[in-house]
Amino acid sequence: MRNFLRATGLALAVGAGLTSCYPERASQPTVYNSVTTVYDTLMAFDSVSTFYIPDSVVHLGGSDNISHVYDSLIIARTAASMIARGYTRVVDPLTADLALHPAVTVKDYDYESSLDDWCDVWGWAYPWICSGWIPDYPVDVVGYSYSTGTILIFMADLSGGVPPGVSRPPVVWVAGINGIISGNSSGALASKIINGIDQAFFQSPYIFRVNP
Amino acid sequence: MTPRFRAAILLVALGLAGAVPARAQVLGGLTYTWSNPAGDLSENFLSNDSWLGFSAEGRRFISPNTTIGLSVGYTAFYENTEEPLIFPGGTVSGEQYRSLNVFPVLGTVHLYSKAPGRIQTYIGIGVGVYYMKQLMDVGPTTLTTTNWILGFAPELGFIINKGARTEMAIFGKYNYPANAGQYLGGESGSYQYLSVGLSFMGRR
Repeated sequence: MRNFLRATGLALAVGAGLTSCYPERASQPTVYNSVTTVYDTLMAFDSVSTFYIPDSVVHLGGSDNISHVYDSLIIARTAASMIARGYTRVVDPLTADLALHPAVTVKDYDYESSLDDWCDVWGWAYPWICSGWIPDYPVDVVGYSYSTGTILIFMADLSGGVPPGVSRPPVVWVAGINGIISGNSSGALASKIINGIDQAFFQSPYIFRVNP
Repeated sequence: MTPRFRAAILLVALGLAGAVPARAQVLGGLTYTWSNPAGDLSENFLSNDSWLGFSAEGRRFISPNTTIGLSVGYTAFYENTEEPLIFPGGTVSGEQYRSLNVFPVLGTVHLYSKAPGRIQTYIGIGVGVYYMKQLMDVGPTTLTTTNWILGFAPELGFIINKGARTEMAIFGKYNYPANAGQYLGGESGSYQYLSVGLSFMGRR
């Protein structure tokens, strides 16, 4: 038994020395900035040509303490990214193939509890969402959450009509740029917004009318 | 049949519960390992090597040059990365913390050389089950998944002070979990890794 204990002690001593400089997990996970994109793999993004984007950014989740100063920047950068991919912006949503709806979360947000939030985002444009019909795209997003100040960009395919006229949910792409807009305005935040939107499109090469 | 049940049957089949010579000797002790990811692990999830690995091992001689035994281990891989994680239907990019904690439980067979001297070569193989816990922090979200995977681990080692009260061995072991399970992103894979270790074994 003494030999076993000696062997164990030696191994532990060697291991303790060699494992002492190991990468640490952040104590506060929100320090990890991220860009998440999910899309409908059945969508032929090159089969549509026009898009609509409103003039305002929806602020999700109750009382609003997030500045609107970046709304125009978010809309302009998103629209510019779509144009760069070969799509044409139109001002009438009824004539658009795609509709993009940027949003900013004003509270920590659980994407899974979606009925009310989907209604918040889309209800003004598509009242049937608030009447009980729940979009279930994208299927890979399960229990995802975003911190306050996250930019969400929703893209809907309206080219084939909308439910209940069609059975397929309209949301074909969602981008989540985590936790960017919080606190006071600054040039650094503007830069983060631009970089985040650019990254969302960069990692979504399937969105193109012409090759980017 | 569950993977755990299959592993239990395998251990019994290897003879752990079988007859043992009257003068059987037992080797037991602890092993420290450095590990390097390979296969789908390095290709799909993380590439950092691991300096955090231990295993407890017992071996029983069933002949002068053959042991059977059991090895229970732990290896932790960690990485901070900005490499995008691509999964069917989407991509996550940005700062992330990724980890994979592996707990192999292997039945082992080892064959030892008959050459005289203080250094003794051995080869071995472990067969059993790998419990893997995969984790990724991204933004405020922590994604985790666990898998039980059948696998095997061929091994080559050298006892460098045969006959001492505490024998030390240097070894290399290739851990080869089967291509199975469902890892983050929804796909199966073979999360392999090479371990190089130092064993401290007592003999009774």
